[in-house]
Amino acid sequence: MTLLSPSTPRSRFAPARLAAVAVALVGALLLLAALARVTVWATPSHTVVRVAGQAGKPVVDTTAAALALDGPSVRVTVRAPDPGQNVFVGVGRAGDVEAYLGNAARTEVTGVRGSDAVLATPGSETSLPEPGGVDVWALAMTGRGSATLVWPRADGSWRLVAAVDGATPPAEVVLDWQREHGSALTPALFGVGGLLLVLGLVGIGATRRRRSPVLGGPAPGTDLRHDDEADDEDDDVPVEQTPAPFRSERRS
Amino acid sequence: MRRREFLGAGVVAAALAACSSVETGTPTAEPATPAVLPGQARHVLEQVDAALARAVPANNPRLLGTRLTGPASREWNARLTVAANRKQKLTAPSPLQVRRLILPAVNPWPRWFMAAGTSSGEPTPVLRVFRSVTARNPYGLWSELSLLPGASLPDLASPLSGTPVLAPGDGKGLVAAPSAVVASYARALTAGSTATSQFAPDQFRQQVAGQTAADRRKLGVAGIASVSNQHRPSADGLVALRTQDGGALVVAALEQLYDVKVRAGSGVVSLDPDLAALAGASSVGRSLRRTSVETVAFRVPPAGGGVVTVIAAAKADVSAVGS
Repeated sequence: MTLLSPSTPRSRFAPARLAAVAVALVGALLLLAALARVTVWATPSHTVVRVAGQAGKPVVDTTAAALALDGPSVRVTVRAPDPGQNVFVGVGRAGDVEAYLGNAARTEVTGVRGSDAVLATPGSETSLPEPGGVDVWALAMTGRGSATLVWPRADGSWRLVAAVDGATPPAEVVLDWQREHGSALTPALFGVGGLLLVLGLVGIGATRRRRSPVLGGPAPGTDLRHDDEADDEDDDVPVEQTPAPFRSERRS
Repeated sequence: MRRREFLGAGVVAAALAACSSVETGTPTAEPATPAVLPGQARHVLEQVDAALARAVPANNPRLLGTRLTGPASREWNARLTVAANRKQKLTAPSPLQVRRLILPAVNPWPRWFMAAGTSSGEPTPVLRVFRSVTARNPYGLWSELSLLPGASLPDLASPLSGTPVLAPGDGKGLVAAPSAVVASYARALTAGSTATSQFAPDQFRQQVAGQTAADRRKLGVAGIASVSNQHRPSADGLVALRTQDGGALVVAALEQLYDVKVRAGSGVVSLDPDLAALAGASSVGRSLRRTSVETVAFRVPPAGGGVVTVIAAAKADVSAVGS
């Protein structure tokens, strides 16, 4: 009666099969997530924002957090209102730049939202010493009409200042962050997802292959009524090394 | 149904919120680097050389701009004034062949750094000292000292990550606080003695004492004039850096006030051409006040480490007022 009981094999194999399906499903989801990270959720390779200088605010600057937006480098181009004017763009230690700026009125980039700069306008002094004439810059460029600087990622807190002469605001500052392509998580998602999917599929296949013989064998639990010999035999089989279906098969 | 609608609205709101979030980065921890990076220091050296190259051939102190400061600014203003009055042309000092940069750790302003090396036309190695008073003032040449014969610069603590700067009054672990060392040396110079227990004998003090003694002999013995001499720490300040042995390298500015009082009816005292050009008179019949700036580099040993040694010095007249 127990041999033909349809419910008994199901109760033995369903958890294993369910687990295999779950593993495969998780693997597939992870793969999909990884695919999404490199397609629809992918970080753009560049984030470009344009900031116009504001009257009465002689410099455009960034906070340390804004300049440190993830990516290997940021390219900054500053343009003068008059092509004949010299412009300046420089990067210095955050503390040094803070000391230089003091209470100078400025257009400050504090972050980005999509392709827009998030701006603040601290300070009230309408002029400050010409930035090219001070020594707080780790890297600086000047040029007639426009100047461009590429700042590679560096340890520490750094701020950027773009200006003309310390009194006239620049016409426009373009910040172009080269962004990270994906992250270390994406390959991990691909790897783990793929592995889980394969394991899950193998598990599903294995449970499917073993279904017929198991259905023909004695129902698990019948041995409960066996004598000690059967129990001894059972003891010889390491539980950890032999999956349940095989154990049932041996006993048939 | 309503529940589903609510859920949908929530998802849309979350998506919109995610799209409108502000992106920023996270600055990493500050690496241990000097206040002035080597590249910045070389830029300053170039700017100073450029300023001297502009101003000196033109005999125009205004062209020095802000790239000379403190004692060096006063010295070059005086030198160019003298050259202009004497219709002479000076040559700008040649750029320094830098052998060593001395870069302090990040510290509040005023900030300093030094460059040691050789300069063609200078018989001995020189130590150039630069200072920036605030973040809005560029570094300017503060002084150029000549190393005294046989002297060498001490090894400094943490040369790569920035040498710690000591406060002028901080004598912890030293034979004396930097400001006390400078005040003592000024007294020793004024006294004219070449043998004081706190300082090892040095050529600079010998020369200053010798010159004053010679003037006193020349003018005093003949009863023409009296000579008085005072050295004092200058308002141009000092910098003290920790050395590897726990001592300090101290560079300070002093001022010498040198007064000649001519006795009534004893005639006039002639001035040498450079001093005359500075004073605007070739001789004085009543008095002369000659002011000089002196910059001195001391090696201050750790407490119990012996006497203070002068390793480099410079002196220049900056003004003369006579009648």
